[in-house]
Amino acid sequence: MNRTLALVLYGIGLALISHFAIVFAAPYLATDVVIARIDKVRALTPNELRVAPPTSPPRDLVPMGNADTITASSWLDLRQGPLLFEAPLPRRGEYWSVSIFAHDSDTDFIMSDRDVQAGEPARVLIYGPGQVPPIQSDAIIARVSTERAFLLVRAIMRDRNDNADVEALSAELRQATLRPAP
Amino acid sequence: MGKVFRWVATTVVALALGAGSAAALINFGGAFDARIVNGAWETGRHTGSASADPYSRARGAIYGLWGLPPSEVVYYTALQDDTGQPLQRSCSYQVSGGALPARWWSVTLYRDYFLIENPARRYSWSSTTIDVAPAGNWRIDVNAAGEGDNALPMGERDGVFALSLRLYQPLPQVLDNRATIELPAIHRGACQGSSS
Repeated sequence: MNRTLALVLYGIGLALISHFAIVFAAPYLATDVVIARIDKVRALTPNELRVAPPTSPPRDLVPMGNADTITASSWLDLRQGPLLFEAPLPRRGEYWSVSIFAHDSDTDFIMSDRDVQAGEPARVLIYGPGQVPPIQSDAIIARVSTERAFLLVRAIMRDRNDNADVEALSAELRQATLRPAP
Repeated sequence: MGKVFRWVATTVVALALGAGSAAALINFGGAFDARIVNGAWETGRHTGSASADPYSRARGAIYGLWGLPPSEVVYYTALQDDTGQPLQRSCSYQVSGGALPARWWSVTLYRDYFLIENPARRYSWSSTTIDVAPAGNWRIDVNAAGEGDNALPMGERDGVFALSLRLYQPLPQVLDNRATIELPAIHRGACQGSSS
């Protein structure tokens, strides 16, 4: 009887552990799968910004990706220290934002063109876990909860089938920089 | 031998139950209040937010990685028409609406959660691309061939079809009224092999 009870308790315990392990690991795994897909196509270098063309089938890498955005992105490695992201706001486009997603897919930071003063560039200092931001800075501070994270700049195109407009917007996105924080 | 078999069998069954129940709850979408339904459309209450329950976070990561929180973008998804029938390639649909309460909006069609290849390279219509009638209303024709006004082609093979409505920087009243704001209608037209 005791052996049967032990077996049942073991089974319940193992089922619960595997259940919660899968639920909590899923966001990390989903991130890793998409990063691996992007890496296969674009050879990701950590902390390097890359501007991607508008997503198009069959080369769309993210489920339910936005067909109307041009993106610049970087797979951040904050173990190497804080980073400074700087970007002039595009004069074209319907919307612009920069967001940072932790390895577990949480949105740790979001800033849009509405948060930037007219005529000024967006400046974001990015700090990882355990890193201490300066008390005073003219940049906006982003605190990221994991050492690896994904930085994503989104710019919405007026019309993705207007090639000249899309190329001009891409050129504006390419002016963004990401480098070690001074 | 019988004892070893019982432990191995229990391990296998427990792992299968754990994995199966996790997959089922992730696909269900998390806590019972995690989804907001508005007609044919539904949206996550905490999409892109760390305050979401673990199942919603897992679902969001799998089916909509790197989505933004509702204060920035409200993402509605419709897998069905206004009558509750799944979107099917054998049917045609009219998605119709008017001005939407956001800085910018779009309606995008997906098959199996990815964009659908088509010669016109038309995957979505947005507030900046759609043809709007003088009265302010608009219509998107969704069908296999991509025929009609503001057409979105469903392509050449079947799958799970989904429409995504994105409201970028929604007006303040949207967040508290996601279940009741007026969203585009999804009307099913003719279906092949049916008189409906």
